[in-house]
Amino acid sequence: MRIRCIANNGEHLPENYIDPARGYTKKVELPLTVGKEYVVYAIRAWQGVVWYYICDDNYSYYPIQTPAPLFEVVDSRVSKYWQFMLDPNGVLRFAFEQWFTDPYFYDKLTDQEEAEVEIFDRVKELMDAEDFSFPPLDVAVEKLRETVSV
Amino acid sequence: MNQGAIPDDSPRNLPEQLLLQDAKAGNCRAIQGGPDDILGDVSRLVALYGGNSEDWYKMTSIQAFTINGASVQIHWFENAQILQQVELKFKRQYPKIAPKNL
Repeated sequence: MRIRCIANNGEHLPENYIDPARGYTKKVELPLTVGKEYVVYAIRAWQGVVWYYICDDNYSYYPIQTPAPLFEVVDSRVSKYWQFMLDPNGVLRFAFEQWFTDPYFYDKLTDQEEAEVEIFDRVKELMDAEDFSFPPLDVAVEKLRETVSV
Repeated sequence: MNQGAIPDDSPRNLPEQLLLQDAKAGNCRAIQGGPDDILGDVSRLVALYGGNSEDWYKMTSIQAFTINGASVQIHWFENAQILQQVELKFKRQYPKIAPKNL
């Protein structure tokens, strides 16, 4: 999934994204370039507020949550590395396997622990290079039928 | 996760000091935390410093300076209700050196 930045400051955020506790005010300026495309490595959504985890212009070793309304989706196809999770409190997440198998993965990644930084480095490499080109539906079905026929 | 309190890091040079001032002046945002993204370390934070789980955030400076070859950000934990800031850390990430072809 790829997104394009359409705004990089709090002026463009809907009211439900304004959250001073998280640092999101009308005055916040984020390290994003308007017009630039970013790969989405994970998504979190809760009560109508959606966050994309991207490597922004200050990226050093972890993807950071960034408000969805600052972007338009330019490629809506989702990563084959993603898994889905719905928390008991209604938080919806898409992320790669390690994010879910270790409940402290993102804590450890942002703490700069070597193993988690290495894992994200590898996942990023795979997701950045992910090939989304699929054959047309009829060709794909034909191929599938060829492989399952006896 | 750690058990005890972690002392604040100190800036090593003037650019790190300026980065710290900028972050503490409000140029910061949450990496994680709050009611929809509870911190893994939150039990320790509540036990040590008090407050409610959903009020704790891991914050980062929005700016990231390149200092002595490293990309530097500042992280800390913050209780949004009482604006308590603890366990400040300088995160220095050095670029990877590509392996040489033999």
